Amino acid sequence: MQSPKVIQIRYTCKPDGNQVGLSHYLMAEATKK
Amino acid sequence: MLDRNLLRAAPASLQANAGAAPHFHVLATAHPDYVALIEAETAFWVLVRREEALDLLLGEDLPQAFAAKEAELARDLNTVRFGLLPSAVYFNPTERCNLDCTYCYLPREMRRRGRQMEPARLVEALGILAEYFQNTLPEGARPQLVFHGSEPLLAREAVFTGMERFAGRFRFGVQTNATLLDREAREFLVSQGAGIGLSLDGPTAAVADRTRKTWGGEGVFAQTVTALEELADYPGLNVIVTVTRENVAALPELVEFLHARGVRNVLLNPVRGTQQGGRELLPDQAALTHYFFTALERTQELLDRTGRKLVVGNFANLLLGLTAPGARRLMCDISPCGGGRCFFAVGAAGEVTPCSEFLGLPEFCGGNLFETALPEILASPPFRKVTGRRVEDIHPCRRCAVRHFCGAPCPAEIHALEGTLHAPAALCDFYAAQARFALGVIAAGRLDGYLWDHWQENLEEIRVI
Repeated sequence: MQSPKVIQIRYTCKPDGNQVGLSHYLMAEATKK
Repeated sequence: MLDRNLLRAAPASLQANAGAAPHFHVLATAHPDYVALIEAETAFWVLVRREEALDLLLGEDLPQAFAAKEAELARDLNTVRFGLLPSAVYFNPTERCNLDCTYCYLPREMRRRGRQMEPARLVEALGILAEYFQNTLPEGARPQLVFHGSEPLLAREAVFTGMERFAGRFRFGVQTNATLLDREAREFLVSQGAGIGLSLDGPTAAVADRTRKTWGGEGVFAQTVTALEELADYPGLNVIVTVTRENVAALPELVEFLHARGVRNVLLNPVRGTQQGGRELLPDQAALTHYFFTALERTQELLDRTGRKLVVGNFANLLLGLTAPGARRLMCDISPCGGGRCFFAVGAAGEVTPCSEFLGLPEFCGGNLFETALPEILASPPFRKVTGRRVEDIHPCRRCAVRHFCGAPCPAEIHALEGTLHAPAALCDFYAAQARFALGVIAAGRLDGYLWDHWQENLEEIRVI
């Protein structure tokens, strides 16, 4: 398969107050939102 | 002879790297066929085959396409860097710990004989926090509150009382060494849907017990692994590995060990040199880079072989930083870091610092939760120092192509090491290599293998080129 000449991926995400944002702890979701 | 035809008559803005035109860094990636062109101000990047890179860089298409989306890209990054509200808390209900891990970010005396919250006081604290978030966050938002340590289960009655009383108001998590995580405690936490983080530093007692041991010097590997095996199917489980010079070479084996036990989330966090014990265990950067990448590749070999993912959260977060900055789940690898602006830490006496990493540094206390209103604490000079720390103001970070995928962490560590907040990361070489590795992963088409399932949900694409 021919690999692509150019790869660009960027998504935006609207802040909703539920942003997971700690430093050295990751909140693994115990239940699906 | 000069050929003036080479100087196209196009507007200067369409000729990269001069005048008002965007500036694209050229960066080698871990993929042999691709390089990255990076517009660092907006954290925009494009991967291009090496033989095509110069034409893309010098042509008009890239600057033109970028100019059309520049405002949107800048807005997106600025929101993540400056527009988020605090929505998470590290809560240390006790300063004490039943272990004496040499690298802890809390001073030894504090862990040995420190203060501890009574249940009523902890409930009072959660009430203050719940009211603050109710006034600041959009309706329906559930902030995170992680009981952290020291060992939070030493204050088990207070912690569980608080969780029951405020069920539904917070998304709770507990970071524990597992030594006090008996069946009753496990069942309670699972019934609450709480996140459970277990600390484990090696795949064998010989490795893990080098750094994590009791005050009497005994290791706790066996107890931690028992708890881990009992929780392996629990989706809220996350394992935290503190990477030091003592266990760095064991990372690939540790990844296999965790995967074999059904673990789905792990953080491989390099130790911070905020306290002397951590400084003495900082891993060599070349060794860290080698073994960390080997461990990452091992997760993909295991995925290919078994169909089961083990996500290395801190690396996955970097991939999100590249592809969807607003969807990142951790806030160390961006500047300003999340400390004091996305989350903050509350100590056992109610003292509030930008991050738990600062709890052992009194000069970074912004006030006391029981005495001063949180908005005032969050705007205090110690907090402003941390929330105002930007890579643009740090040399040589300001010229670095990956400055917004690294963030020059961690301010607490850098302050302890350098006496200033305005210095690059202690592990600068590692973070730069990690960004190039991540870009290589994307070029190789392996992004999904390293990320959580459904990571694209609720995201909107910005297509530039």
